[in-house]
Amino acid sequence: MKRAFGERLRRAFRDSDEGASESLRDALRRREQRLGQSGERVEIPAGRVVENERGSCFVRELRYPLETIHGDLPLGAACNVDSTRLAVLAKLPEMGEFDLSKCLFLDTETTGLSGGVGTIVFMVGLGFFDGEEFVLEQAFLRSYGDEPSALIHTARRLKQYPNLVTFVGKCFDRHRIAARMAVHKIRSRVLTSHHLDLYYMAQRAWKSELPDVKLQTVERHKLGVHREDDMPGSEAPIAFLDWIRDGSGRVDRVFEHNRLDVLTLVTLLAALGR
Amino acid sequence: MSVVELIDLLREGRDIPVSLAAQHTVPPRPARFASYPEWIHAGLREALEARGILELYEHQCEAADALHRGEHVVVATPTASGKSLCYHIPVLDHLFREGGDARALYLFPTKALARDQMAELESILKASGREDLTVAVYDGDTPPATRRALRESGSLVITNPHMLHAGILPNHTKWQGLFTGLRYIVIDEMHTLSGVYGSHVANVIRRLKRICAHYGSDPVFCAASATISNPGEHGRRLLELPVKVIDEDSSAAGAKHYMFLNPHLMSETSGLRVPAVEAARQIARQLVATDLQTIYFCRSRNTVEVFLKYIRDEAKRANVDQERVAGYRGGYLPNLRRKIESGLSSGAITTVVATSALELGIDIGSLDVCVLVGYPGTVSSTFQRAGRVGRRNKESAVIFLARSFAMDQYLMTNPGYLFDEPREMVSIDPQNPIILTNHVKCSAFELPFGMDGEKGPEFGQAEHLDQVLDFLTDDLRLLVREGKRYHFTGLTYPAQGVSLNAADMDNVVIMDTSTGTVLGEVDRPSAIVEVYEGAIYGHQGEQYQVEEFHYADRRANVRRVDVDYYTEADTETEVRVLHVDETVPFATYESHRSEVHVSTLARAFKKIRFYTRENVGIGEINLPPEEFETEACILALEESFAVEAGLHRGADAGGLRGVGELIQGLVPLFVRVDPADVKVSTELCHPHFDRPTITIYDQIPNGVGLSEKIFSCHREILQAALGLTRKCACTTGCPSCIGPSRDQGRRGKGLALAVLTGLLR
Repeated sequence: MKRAFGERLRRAFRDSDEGASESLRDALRRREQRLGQSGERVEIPAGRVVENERGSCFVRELRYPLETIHGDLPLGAACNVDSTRLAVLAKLPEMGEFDLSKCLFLDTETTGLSGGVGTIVFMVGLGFFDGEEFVLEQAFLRSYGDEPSALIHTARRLKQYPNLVTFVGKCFDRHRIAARMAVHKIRSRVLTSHHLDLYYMAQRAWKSELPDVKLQTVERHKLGVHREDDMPGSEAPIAFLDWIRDGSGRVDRVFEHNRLDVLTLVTLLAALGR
Repeated sequence: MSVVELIDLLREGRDIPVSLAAQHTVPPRPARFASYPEWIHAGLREALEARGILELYEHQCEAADALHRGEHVVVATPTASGKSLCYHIPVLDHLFREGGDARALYLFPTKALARDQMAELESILKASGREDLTVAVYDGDTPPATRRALRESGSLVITNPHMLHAGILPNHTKWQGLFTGLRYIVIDEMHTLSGVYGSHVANVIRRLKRICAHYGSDPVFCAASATISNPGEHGRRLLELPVKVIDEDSSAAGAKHYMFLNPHLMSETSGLRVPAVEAARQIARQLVATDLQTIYFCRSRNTVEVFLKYIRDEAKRANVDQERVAGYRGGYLPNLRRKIESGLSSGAITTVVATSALELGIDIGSLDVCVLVGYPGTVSSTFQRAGRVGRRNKESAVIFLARSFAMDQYLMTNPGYLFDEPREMVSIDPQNPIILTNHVKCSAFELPFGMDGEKGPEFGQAEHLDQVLDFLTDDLRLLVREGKRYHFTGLTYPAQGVSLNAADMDNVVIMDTSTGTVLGEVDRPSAIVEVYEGAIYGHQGEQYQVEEFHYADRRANVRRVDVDYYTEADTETEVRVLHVDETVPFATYESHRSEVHVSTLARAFKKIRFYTRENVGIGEINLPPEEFETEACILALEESFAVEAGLHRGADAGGLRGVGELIQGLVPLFVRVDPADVKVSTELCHPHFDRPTITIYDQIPNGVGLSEKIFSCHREILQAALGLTRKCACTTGCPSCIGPSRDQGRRGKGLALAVLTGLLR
């Protein structure tokens, strides 16, 4: 009976959509194998295990001196912005209260772009200024069991640094985080905190002179950031899903992609506020 | 004219070419009242009393009481018996008492019903001054700008199963307020949740219950249904909860006269009768200028438009305002429908021609006369339509006009079939492996299986859940197992790939090019027979011609024309074998479990003159066929047996066709489906097997395993078919066995008996 039941399902779902995306994944895997990465589990970068009341999760922490150059600008340039100009671009008259040392630069990597509760936030890049350094943390799910703890970590940081800075985060990142927090019954101010979405600001500032207002277009033209061999963001979901299943996905490259995205948020804010 | 005068007129058959075949009168019945329950909120009671509801019917009180106590209830009483008050009372009482955080969810099968109920509820809230409570309809017509406010503050959310499945459940975190405060869930028109569609909805309810449990709510369910023979069983299967059944109607009713009218024979030899539409027109001529509010039910959208034109012509002749006449069918836009509904309620419209679209419980008040132009197809449907007439203290009439078809003629001589036999059962199969697997997939996206608080993975009373989860994990790689938990790991939004109803959402828009406005819409599978280029598209009894049909854009351009004909498309259905998965030999035939390709092609259309029905021209249709792949069970008869049973090549296939019809009719008894979900086709010489075949297939793209069940139990069906044919008192075939001899030939019954006996050898 058991076998017949499985056979029945296999026949019925033979041509389903999942089958199609499966073959896409297979194709990507073959490509990775050609690159000589077969067999071994892809290693994630060094980091620490964070313990909190909802278990433990993995966090990679990077610390940058303020003079670190990303593209044409040092990260510290973000501390000297003209907040009046930012206020105009952000259409936030109350920007005077927006304390940049309380900024949390946030960028997520998720298992899909279509939304819905089941789209998992598998990596949260969190950046903030700490004295003479800029700190970048990447909370990552080594397993789904890490998720509640990683969300708690994010909620904590948001409490310490309540001014969100994102790129398209108002309509994407914050909702994905809020949905997963609701699944795990974690309360947080992610939907209600101050939020500078640099996408809308960049659009107001440069729409007429740029071909589009995608993050990478903006950083190339305005910030002098030129990425080499960066993993396209659209491949990140597949990399994670492959990694969590059998360790074959190139999540190391997702870490790098996310790192660059967060650093760009910092210099982009600086450029917009110049 | 009064109803009594109309009945006399019809009985005499004066001026109308019909004879009275039978008459059945349901005597008037006084109402049995009960006083309001003591627990009811004073403000609500005042608001209801202000609407003239000074007492409740017993069944309303009983249902409200049980719901208030926390029992799950199924109310199965006829149309217009005040079903909605059964659940409005406990629901509104709860909202009135608890205020801001309390929530209720109503599920209605159509947008029209949802709007209808919203208006009703809003007027109660307004009358009671409780404008802090809001009623909100959430469906495809809800403007995106208002959706957010509605999600956050709607006390009573009205939606449909599709929106719940594809919009609300996959985004449940945006609806935390609703799911946290949810006290009541109402499912109306439960009888429409049958067959494959109902099996899907049963699984959506399993998902809904998981989400409620996640947010800590444990709602009370109320399901309301038309009169069916198994309301309790159907309710328990759908909700997977113990239910209290309330099926005794205690509302008042005036006497209702059922008149069975058979149009006269036009010629004794051919057996053809005056068309039912023509007989109906002659009745309309008598009624159109009277104050009797009349509803005509036609079988198809096309007939509605043709008949509506006839009535408009009669109205013109009688100097009756055209505004008093309307059509009503699927495909009309919501605004037009609302206008017609309120015109009927207010009495401004006295004549309406409708399809089954007016069968559901939309409030149009009670009318006086219902004319059924042809048998509606099922007993339940007949009484749903008949329920549209009959005011509390006034007599009403239901006039059934027979067509020449077998079933209609059968009922003329056997009216007891409608009144004495049990009504149809409504069947669903929530354990169907494919439907179940699809919803487990959707549910895993909404919440991992095996979360804290769950003993292990749970999904209602689903069987084989472990195997489904293993399949999704190991074969489709859509889930990842970590300890006891299963997490969704797909890239896509799974509800998007799962359709509850194969026909939904892919509609063709009909544009009037002379005004640049949208006239209506039609579902894609029907489009090839309704809006091909050259087709006459009827709208409110006026004719439009289809000038262009952009199949890929789902758009048909039409223009108003003045022609004296309408059009009808001819279709051919072909079932081709793609692959045989399994074969079992029997003494006289082989049974094959197969995959098949079903293609329906509209090749040509006829132009038919109004009134005379003369064929005044033909045209070609150049459209791609409607195609789908599905599963089938094919019985292929051994050659020697075929010859023995008289089914040699070139023979009369009536007996074989008769067996096919029998099987089609009996399938729902064995596999719990809606009769329309399974189709049977027979061929005297099937090109793939080169012998006579009976093919039973799932009328659903990709199949859902119905014919596989039939593959394993088909001999029981054959046995039942044989028993039924043997017992039937007719000599040469009739609609209650193999179909009438007119269709299957005079030898049909003998041949069918020979085929069935041989198959069971």
